[in-house]
Amino acid sequence: MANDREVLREIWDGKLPVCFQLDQEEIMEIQQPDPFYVMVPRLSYFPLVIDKMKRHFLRFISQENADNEMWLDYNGQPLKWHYPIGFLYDLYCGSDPQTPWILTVHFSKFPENILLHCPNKDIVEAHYMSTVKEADVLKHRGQVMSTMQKKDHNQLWLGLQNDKFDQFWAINRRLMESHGESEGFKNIPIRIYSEDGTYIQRLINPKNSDGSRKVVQQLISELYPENPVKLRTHGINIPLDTPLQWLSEHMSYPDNFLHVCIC
Amino acid sequence: MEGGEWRDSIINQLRTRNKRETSAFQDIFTFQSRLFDNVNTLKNENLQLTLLNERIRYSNTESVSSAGGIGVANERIQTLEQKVLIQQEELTSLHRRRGESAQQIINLNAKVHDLEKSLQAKDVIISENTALLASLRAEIQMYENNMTELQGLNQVLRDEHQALQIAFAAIEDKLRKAQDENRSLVERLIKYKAKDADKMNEENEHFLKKKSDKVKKELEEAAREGGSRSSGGSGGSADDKIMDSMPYYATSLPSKVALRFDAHDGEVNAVKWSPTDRIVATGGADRKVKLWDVSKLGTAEGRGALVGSNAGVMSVDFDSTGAFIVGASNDFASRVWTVGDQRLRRNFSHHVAIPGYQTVESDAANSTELLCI
Amino acid sequence: MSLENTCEEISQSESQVENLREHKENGDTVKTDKVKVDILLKATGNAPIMKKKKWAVDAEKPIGWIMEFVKKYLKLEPDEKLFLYVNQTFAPSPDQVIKNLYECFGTDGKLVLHYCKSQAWG
Repeated sequence: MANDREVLREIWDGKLPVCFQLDQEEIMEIQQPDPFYVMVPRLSYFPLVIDKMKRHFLRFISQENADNEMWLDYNGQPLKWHYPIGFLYDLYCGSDPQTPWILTVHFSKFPENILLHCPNKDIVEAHYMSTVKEADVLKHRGQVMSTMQKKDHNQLWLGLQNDKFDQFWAINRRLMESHGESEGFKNIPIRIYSEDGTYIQRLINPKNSDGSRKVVQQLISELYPENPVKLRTHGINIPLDTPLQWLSEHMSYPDNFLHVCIC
Repeated sequence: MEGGEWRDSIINQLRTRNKRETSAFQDIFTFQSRLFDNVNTLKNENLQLTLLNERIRYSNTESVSSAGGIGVANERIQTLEQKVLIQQEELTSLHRRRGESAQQIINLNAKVHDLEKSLQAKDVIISENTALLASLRAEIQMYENNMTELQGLNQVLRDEHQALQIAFAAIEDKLRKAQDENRSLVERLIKYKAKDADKMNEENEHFLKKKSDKVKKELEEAAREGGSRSSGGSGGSADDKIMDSMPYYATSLPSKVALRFDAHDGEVNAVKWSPTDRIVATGGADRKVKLWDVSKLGTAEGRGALVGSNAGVMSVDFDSTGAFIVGASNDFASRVWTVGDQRLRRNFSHHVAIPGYQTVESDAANSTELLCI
Repeated sequence: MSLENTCEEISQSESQVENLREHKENGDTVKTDKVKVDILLKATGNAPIMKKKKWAVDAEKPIGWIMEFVKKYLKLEPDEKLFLYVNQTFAPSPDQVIKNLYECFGTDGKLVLHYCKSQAWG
């Protein structure tokens, strides 16, 4: 049960200061556009927060690019829109925090082989729900999501989209309950990313063979026995004695996955 | 909720992260976005106004170049210019009026302010006065209380005074009465004393008269003897006269006991008054001689017991000075004590038991001559 | 038979192209594992059934590559969409690596994927 409300709240309220700048090569006006500053929620996705910014920059680009899909990059690294914003920040500047986070906005030369297309917000919702279902399969064999009604799924997405903590967690708490009679999930949904952006996802049991709760330290020794690494998520270093079950309940992203960087 | 160091570490890191990332920038960004929106709206307005401007100018130039002649256009221009002038004048007058009203508003505001201030001051004064009033009322109440108390006291004192006066009057009466009585008694006493004196004088005169008569008579008799013995019948009466001229004291028999006291454990055999002091000596069967002081009326204080006899004391007597006491007892002995220190001085033994005797002493302090009978 | 052969050739050449592409993208730091993962493709809804259902795929390939491959295999029009599902529950993101999906959701040594032309499980 995810009942440490204080931690949940701190995670939910995380916001990043972002500065969007238009790619110099695409500016068609004589007047330079002002950079667009906005506080974005760490738990959200880029396509949900860029409407106003896009309108602001549309005036300054050539008209033929106006209907193209917009994409973002940081230091030349295109940003995958289907990753949570906070996680992207941790991945690319976790070791070197940048405030504000300066991103470049593009309307041309879409990197087809790196980024997925995102024509509208429904795609974002579909991707989000799919990830939640995948996590549910790992945690409860998919039983919780399949017994929920469509309106509950909608409430989950709307709560995230409109930044409504209670609305979101009214449904999400059900996904954080233990599986069957055993205390805890069947497996922990976690993705561990290396610095180049690739990740591994394995079946991780929240309990050790002797029945005790598995902690982060044991996970690291299982997966990286040669070089012990440190794990980072939500902008903080995870203490090594944190139980995995608790971590998954409280520090998963809204898609119910733990997105963790190696550092 | 689970605890543990890891949880505290996580919470602290989250909090610092939020502080660093969020709170530092939140206000600036919202402000900036607001400015952005304002700029955009202003730009749009600007754009629209310029467009409008353009359109008007364009329509103006259009109307000028259109068919209808310059005269018509001039007329139109003139009428339009006049209208514009009128509008401008109205505008300026309205501006002026607005300025005046604004000024009025300022003045009225200032007045309201002043009135409010004076009202406040008056309120303060009123509150002070009410406070003062309350305190004065309290004082009045206190004084009234005091006064009633004092009146009560006064009443009490007056009553006491009256009572005392009455008592005083009564006592005065008593005093007067006593004084009157005293006066009357003194008068009576004087009368009686005078009577006594008169009587004494009378008696003296009588006696003297009797004496002189006697002498006269003797002389007469003597003269008569020499001459004649003629009387005979007055002898009897002379005796009566002599009897009558003899001073005598009133005699009375004691009828009432003045004092009764137990003197001894047993029988009291002897009693004697002291010739000098108011002391009575008693001798009893308890072999003691006791001294009693009867100077105080009604009481007999024991002065001491003279011991030494071996049998009952049958007779006691003082010497003429009252310094010695002698006592005779059935133990065939008589003893002498000094009265002052009650010590035995002499001890005489007799040949025969003597029930009682009378002593006749001499005046000498140290030597006493006893006559035993 | 010949069809199957050409399909296999296509798949192999495509895998080679994919290898080259991966090299180009990630530099030589990524070791292309020659480990293969067995996948089983099952048709759902009105999707045509594939003649060859079992395939051995390079473990490091993304799902998107399989999606493109199936599209070409079934000769779908460019505007037609293809949806892939795991466990008949969720549609993985196209850039998810096969190895991860196999480790988590594989059964009996293979990963079962359902495909159809319209959304089946949301």
